[in-house]
Amino acid sequence: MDNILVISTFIVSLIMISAGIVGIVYRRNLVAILISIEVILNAINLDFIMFSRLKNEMGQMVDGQIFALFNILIAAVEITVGLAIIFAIRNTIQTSDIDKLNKLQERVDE
Amino acid sequence: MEWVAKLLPEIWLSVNILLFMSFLNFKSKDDFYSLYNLFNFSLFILVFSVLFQFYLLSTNNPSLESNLDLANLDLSIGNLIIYSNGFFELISKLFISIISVFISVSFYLYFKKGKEDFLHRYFKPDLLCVYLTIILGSFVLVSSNDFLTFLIGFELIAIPSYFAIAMDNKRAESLEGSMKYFLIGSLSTISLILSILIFYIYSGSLVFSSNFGMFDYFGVKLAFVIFIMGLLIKLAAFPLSFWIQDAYAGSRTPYLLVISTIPKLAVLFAFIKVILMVPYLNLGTFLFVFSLFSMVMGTFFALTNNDIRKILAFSTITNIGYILIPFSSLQGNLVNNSQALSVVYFYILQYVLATILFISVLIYLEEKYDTMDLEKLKGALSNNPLLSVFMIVSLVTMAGLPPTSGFIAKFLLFAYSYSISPFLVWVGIITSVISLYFYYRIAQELYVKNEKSEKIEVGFLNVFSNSVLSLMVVFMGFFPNLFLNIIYFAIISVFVK
Repeated sequence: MDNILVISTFIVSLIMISAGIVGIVYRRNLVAILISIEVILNAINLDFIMFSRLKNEMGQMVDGQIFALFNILIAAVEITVGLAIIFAIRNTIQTSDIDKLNKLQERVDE
Repeated sequence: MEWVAKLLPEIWLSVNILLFMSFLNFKSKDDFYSLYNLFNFSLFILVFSVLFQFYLLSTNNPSLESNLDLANLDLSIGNLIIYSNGFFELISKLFISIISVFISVSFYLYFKKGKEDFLHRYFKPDLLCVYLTIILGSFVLVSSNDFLTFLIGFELIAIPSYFAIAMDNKRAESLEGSMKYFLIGSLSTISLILSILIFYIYSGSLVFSSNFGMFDYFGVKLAFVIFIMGLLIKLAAFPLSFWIQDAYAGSRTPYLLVISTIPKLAVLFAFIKVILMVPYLNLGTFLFVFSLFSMVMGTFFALTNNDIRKILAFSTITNIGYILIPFSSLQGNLVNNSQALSVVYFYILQYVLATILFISVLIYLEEKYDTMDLEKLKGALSNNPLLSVFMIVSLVTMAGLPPTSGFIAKFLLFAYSYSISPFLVWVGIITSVISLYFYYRIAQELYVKNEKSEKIEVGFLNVFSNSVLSLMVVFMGFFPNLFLNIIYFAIISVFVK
């Protein structure tokens, strides 16, 4: 495999991971945070597929690609659960702002 | 059909998950009592299926089934073992399945026959499915011998836990606790996957044994640190432990019982197994800091709280701090440290038993008073001798006072790890003296004389299971060697492989 392809995939995944971390830290919307988590998971997936390809050319197994498939599964389950919880929060507290989720903290101050 | 015998408990659990999912959809709501009996029965079968695997492990005579090699219960691809069922894994599964029976009996209150408000206001029978999934996940996690299986087991525990906290989905606190646990939990998933990626880049393999032998590279060391961080998030050790107070305070007590016991056990068993597989370890400074701050922070935060669930959460953080002491500078040949590791195993086992006892009393209190605030629960137990006994036994064990297993476990833990790290042991002794205060405070507030306190009716099954638990805790205090010898043998058996 081309060296350039390895490096460029690496750079793309690095950009995606940084974007995800920035999103988790700066966005206040729960859905946006969820999307940022998914972006990070997918960036790692990209690396897995690329390195699996690289290892496969040296005559090894395709463990990495199988792992990437399971990662996609886990990411899907995680976004389903996350969206379900966000949906319930929208229904009860009428907000999707993470800063409004401070009921448990208030009880400490009392 | 060899794999059926090798995966018997897991297959039984998967079948039951599907079965109970369909039952909960199609059965009429009045049949929950028989459904609950069926559930307990299936957990008993689970215990026996694990025992059957012990029997298979002990038969070294392959001539019983001429073509099958049942004395070796590992599953492998080629010559790489991906799913191991040695003595360590089976004994862990046995403990988990026995404890799961005790937990299930604690839900008896919600399934009692002849209650007017039969459909409970916050207990949902869907918890049974969630609970079975967590047990399945813990089995997979304990047995896993490669990163893919490990991750699947980890997620099978994590994702139902988010559901369990949010089960009371009209209550804002529950949803908030669930969301916070979800965000931190995905962080731990991300750190696990990231570390697995780095391992994979270096070794090109996902099996533990081919990855944990390459610690000459800096990248592999870094990956191992990230991996351990991901596990420590789930164990609620110091740096990212703040989810635990919100998750515990957010969940109702029956759900708290599920998320605070079996996941902790399984993750710690997996942690011990991973540590045992590493030929040498140099994480001393990391775990030293985590252990120190977990003990100090857990103790001091617990002093100021009024919510019993939050006190339990901080007590958990403190105990995880104690458990991490022997790991803080394990060096050289790990066989020499197996004594300390078997004490760690014993410690978490008896702590989980005490937690079950504690929460099964809280379940009755929440059912009666609908609050977990110590101020509002003044004198709540002053009229209930039976519940008081269970509560006192669990508090004495968690505080680590003599006639119970809590004392002997803490004593042995400190004794074995004194040569490893004397400073941490002294901090541990001081913090456990301070922590006597908040355990004592729970007892004091609950037993203040209160004229308004009413008698709480306790179900027979609960009395039975809680008595067994209390006796077991005291028994483990008098005869710890019975358990320690088995655990020591199990830990040694990981090396033999």
